[in-house]
Amino acid sequence: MSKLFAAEVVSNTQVAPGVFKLVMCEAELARLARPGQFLNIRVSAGTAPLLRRPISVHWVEGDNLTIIFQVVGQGTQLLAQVQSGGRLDVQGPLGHGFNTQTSGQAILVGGGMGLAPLGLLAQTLHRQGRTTLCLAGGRTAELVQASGGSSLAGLGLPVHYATDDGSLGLNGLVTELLLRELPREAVIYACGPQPMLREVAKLAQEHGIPCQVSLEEHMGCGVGACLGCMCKTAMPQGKEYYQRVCTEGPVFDAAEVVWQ
Amino acid sequence: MSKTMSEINLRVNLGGIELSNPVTTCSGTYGFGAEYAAYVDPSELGGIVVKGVTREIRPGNPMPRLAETPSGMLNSIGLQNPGIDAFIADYLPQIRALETKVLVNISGNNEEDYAFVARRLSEAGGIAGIEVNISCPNVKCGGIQFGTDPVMAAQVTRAVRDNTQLPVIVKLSPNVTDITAVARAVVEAGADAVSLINTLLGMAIDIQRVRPVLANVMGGLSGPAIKPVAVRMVWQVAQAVPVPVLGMGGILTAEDAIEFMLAGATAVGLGTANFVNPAAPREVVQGIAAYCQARGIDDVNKLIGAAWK
Ligand SMILES: Cc1cc2nc3c(=O)[nH]c(=O)nc-3n(C[C@H](O)[C@H](O)[C@H](O)COP(=O)(O)OP(=O)(O)OC[C@H]3O[C@@H](n4cnc5c(N)ncnc54)[C@H](O)[C@@H]3O)c2cc1C
Ligand SMILES: Cc1cc2nc3c(=O)[nH]c(=O)nc-3n(C[C@H](O)[C@H](O)[C@H](O)COP(=O)(O)O)c2cc1C
Ligand code: FES
Repeated sequence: MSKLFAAEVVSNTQVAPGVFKLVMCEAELARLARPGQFLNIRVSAGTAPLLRRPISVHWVEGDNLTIIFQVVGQGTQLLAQVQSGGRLDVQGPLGHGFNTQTSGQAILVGGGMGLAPLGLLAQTLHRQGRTTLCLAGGRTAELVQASGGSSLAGLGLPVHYATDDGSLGLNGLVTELLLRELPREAVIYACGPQPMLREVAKLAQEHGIPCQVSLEEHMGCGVGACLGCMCKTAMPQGKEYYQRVCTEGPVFDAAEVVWQ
Repeated sequence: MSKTMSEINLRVNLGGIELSNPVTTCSGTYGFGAEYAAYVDPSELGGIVVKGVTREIRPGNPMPRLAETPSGMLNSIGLQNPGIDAFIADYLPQIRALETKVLVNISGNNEEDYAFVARRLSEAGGIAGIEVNISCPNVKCGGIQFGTDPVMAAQVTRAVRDNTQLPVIVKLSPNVTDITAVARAVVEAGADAVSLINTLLGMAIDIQRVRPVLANVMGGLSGPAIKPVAVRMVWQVAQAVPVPVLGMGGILTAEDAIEFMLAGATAVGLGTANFVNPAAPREVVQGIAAYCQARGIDDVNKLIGAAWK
């Protein structure tokens, strides 16, 4: 069950140009958060911007939760200015996260800021003793590490990298790394930009591998009340219908998603 | 003599519906009542108004449906809902169990739709009243909104009135030149109360994509940005009609809510505020009581229209 918290900000540091790592302390929230879930954060006490900002839980350690975010506009700019020692108005944890009750090897595929939610997933799978392979993509070595790559590696999990500039691992796309691993008995967990997710979903389908994808949408309420954050889905060959990214998602079975 | 909080009467009567306090939540922003129950127990509220229901299932508009604007937001949800039969079967049982007054918001493409949905809801029972959303386009009349024409607004109101014994609240559109004309027309046609304002028609353009932000091009503006317009319209309507007014539009805090009551609202609705601060409805109830206490006011009804004099 989600709640409102005034979480204590432990630290907020720039870990790469425009990328921030914020650690907050809130025991109950840390206990409740599941992989793939997100927090809806009020970034302004006033009305500019008015709406909360959805940010994934990246990491949980004891009573502390970590988020990683990229400054892309006014809201994340304000979040970047939050000082340690202050309080953050956090609603959460929200959404339907990754299902970890799966079997076989877990392949985690993350692109850019999409690496962030894979952290808590990797922690959970690691604790379960699951064989896990991480594929991490991004623009540069620095950004891939800052967006969550270093957390994955820190767990001692094998991580293969792909960067746009070749500064770390393959000079190319994370989906090329995935293709190299297929086919195999596995389950794919993916988060990243739409084009990447669409390609991952396609590869998973071609190789008959179950795949869970975490999607993003602009949100009004974050709790399922406004119907503003819809994703078009369909049962195989079935009728198309909308589901709420904030409630039925953000994690969906890739086979259900009708890609735009 | 100053009153303690518990001695202050917060009960109000909204067109035959006894509310334990003047604070309600707005249709379309509160789901079917359960979504926000973890933040504010519905029993702490005067009432809630659930998402608009239509005769048939409606899939809603294409995405994107939301755009954030200065101190506000645009939405073009497109009345996505499961249709009246599925609503009654799948949602009404849990809604009835909520310990608060529940109003169901209804919409339609023509008078028959409104009449049908009102009749089905009355037969089903267990709700406190019906809020009639007349801000939807009339398919027969080429898409003109019922709410912009006093004659059509009155026809819809009568169609609902003739098909239910429940209190009928008609929700007025602000997208008109003279809102009092529509208000008078629906009251003459049998409305027990009026609610206002619905969203203001607006739009936003993405200058990078060089396209409207909303897939539906236009949408409804809500949030603090519309509050002064809403206060003005409540002020006008409350003095023009003899029935109670449910005031809404940009209320975030108790101060905002008190402003609406002083303008003439008997009760208030919080919509977009829930997205910003899910605890807002509770804070507004407490804040209204605190305001009364600080001023030695023993009955919240004394606030209604107090700014007129
Ligand atoms: C479930 C979920 C989890 C997320 N997790 C993270 C995370 O862990 N780290 C992170 O950095 N970001 C995450 N995001 C994206 C983050 O919410 C947006 O970047 C943020 O809201 C932008 O706010 P802003 O005011 O800075 O930018 P705005 O000024 O609002 O927008 C700047 C740009 O970002 C785009 N944008 C804004 N909001 C969203 C959104 N919700 N989804 C997609 N694009 C958006 C806008 O279209 C615009 O192009 C997540 C989004 C969702 C829905
Ligand atoms: C996402 C959203 C959905 C809405 N859906 C409905 C609806 O189904 N029926 C209706 O009468 N009003 C609907 N409204 C209008 C609100 O009930 C309310 O009148 C308006 O938002 C102004 O109040 P606010 O500024 O407090 O949000 C909706 C508003 C929003 C933001
Ligand atoms: S953000 Fe409101 S329903 Fe998802």
